Amino acid sequence: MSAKRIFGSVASACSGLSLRVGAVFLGLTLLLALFAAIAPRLEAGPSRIPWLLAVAAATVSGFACLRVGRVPAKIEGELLRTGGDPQAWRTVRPLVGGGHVVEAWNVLIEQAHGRRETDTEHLPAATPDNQVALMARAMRSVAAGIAVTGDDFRITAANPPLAALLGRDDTADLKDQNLLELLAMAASPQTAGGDIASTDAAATDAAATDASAAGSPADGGSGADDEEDEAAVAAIRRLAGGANAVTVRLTCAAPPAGPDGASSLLPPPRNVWRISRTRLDGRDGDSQGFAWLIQDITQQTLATAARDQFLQTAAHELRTPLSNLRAYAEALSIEEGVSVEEQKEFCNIINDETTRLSRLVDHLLTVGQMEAGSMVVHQHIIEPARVIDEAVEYLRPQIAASQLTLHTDISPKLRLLRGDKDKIQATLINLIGNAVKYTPEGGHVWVRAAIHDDTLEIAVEDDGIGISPEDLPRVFEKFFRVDHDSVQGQRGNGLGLAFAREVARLHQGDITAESRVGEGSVFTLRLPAPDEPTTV
Amino acid sequence: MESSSPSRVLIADDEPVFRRVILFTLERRGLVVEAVNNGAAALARLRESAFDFVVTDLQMPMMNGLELIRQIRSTPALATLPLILCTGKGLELDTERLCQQFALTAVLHKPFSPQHLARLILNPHPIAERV
Repeated sequence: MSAKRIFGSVASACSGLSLRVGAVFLGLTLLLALFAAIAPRLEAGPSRIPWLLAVAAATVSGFACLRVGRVPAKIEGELLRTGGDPQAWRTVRPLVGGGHVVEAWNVLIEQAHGRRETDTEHLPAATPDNQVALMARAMRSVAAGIAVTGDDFRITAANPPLAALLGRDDTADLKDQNLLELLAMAASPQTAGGDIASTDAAATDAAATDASAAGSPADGGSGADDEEDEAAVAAIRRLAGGANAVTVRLTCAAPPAGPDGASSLLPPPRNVWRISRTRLDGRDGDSQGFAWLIQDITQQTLATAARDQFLQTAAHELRTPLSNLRAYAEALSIEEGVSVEEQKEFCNIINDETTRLSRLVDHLLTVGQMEAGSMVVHQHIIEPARVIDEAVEYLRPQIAASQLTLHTDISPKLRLLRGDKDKIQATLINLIGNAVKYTPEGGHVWVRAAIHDDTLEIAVEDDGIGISPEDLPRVFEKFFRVDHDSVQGQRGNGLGLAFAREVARLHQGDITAESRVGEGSVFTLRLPAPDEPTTV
Repeated sequence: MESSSPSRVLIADDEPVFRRVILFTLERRGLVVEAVNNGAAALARLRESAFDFVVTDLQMPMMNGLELIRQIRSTPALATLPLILCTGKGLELDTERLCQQFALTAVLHKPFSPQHLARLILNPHPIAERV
């Protein structure tokens, strides 16, 4: 044996385990020797044999233990040496020898070393398990459906949000289901059947269908439904196609009618999903199925549709005064022999239309802010009585022109308000202006203001033409105007009351309307007016 | 269509200001013009007397322009009556399809020139048999 190996054996022999075992037996031997020493003197000869035997047995047991504990001792030695240090761990040695324990130890070392070498693309093995666990938790909680499928679209993994989207209670329900079929079912239950089977052959057809999706506005509701079904079929085909990465929008079938079977006034909105499918790369670069991301974009779609609708209506509203302007300007410029009276009349009309147009543009800007939810409410301290007075003064010319009588009944106990003075004043001008506009000559307008239960109530009443029960619920809609030949003077643009209500709501208040045809209307603005004005 | 006797034109539009200027422009060119403010009134008028041309706005109360056009085309006596649709709707409307579907003389987008409208009425291109 070389010196190194002797040293090695001595070193491992001196490791903790052997020391402990050795110490026990050393102690035992000493004890026995002590007894032998202090025991009454024994005759030499046969009576000493039991003692000698005991000492011999103890010594032999000690050596036997040392021998048996050699392997655990070595293991303990390696562990002590590397001390849990990840760097030193690389230098841990396999053991030489036979037996199950040595074999097991060597396999363990191999595993540890082997895994470390092939794991070079991952982060240093600081806490790989923590990362994986965190990602798994994120997958469960993220606000989108995530799934992994094979090339045949059978689901191998799915997160709970996906199960919820597809109407299942448990992700286990989804295992091995065909995701493409499930999506097709969600989109249009009737057409789900045949479309999945016909993929490549129909791919060219799908291109043609997509191109001709212009659609006809004249067809109305059923046409739109057909279009959406066609779009759903086209979307499913694209998902089934061969592209590596595909993103489509899918409109789901309308939800079923309510329990009593009665249909509501408006059809319920159909859910819209954005579905992304990307190829999953295998370790060797081959394909191993797809990763799917499904997001519910219904709210965004509705908001976009509302915005588009608003823009279309706004454009149309702008074209009306524009067409008048153009027509009258052209008449003035190219027509021969226009009388002076007619010229004056046309110029006045052009003037009026320009005013109408600019008011519309102003209102559109505010309404645009309303749509985007970005209308800003400034903070002022408002004296309600003063604001009402100023609004009334602004409208004096119109009141006089229509020969109306204005009555004001302002309570002296009005509290100060915190809010946007300009907007509230504009709201009052709108309400009082409407009352003036829709009241025939010689009529009356009342403006009352009082505090009831910490609420400032400003009521504008008139005895004018009133609003019909069909129109009354709609007066606060944007662009809504009552169809009335008897409305004198300028037609409004239908935005005043929508703006007024938005202002009221931004101040945590509201506006209500009551009316009777032929008798008049009352519009009531209510704003919170606590004792201590708080920030709006 | 007799070119010697003045053509009778029916205008349907709910904007009184706009009706005024169209009447003005067409009457000075020798056309006999009547105006109504909604589609139902227009249809009633058409059933009472003969007109040579109809110009209609799209958005009107009671019966809009599109419905009026449909009704006119499904009335045998009026099936070949020249029609012009005016609209502020712009490109959202598939005007080409509408022209073909209802054999319209033209679809005019607001704001348009009343002089142009007058020209279309006075010198209509013969409508090929599209029905």
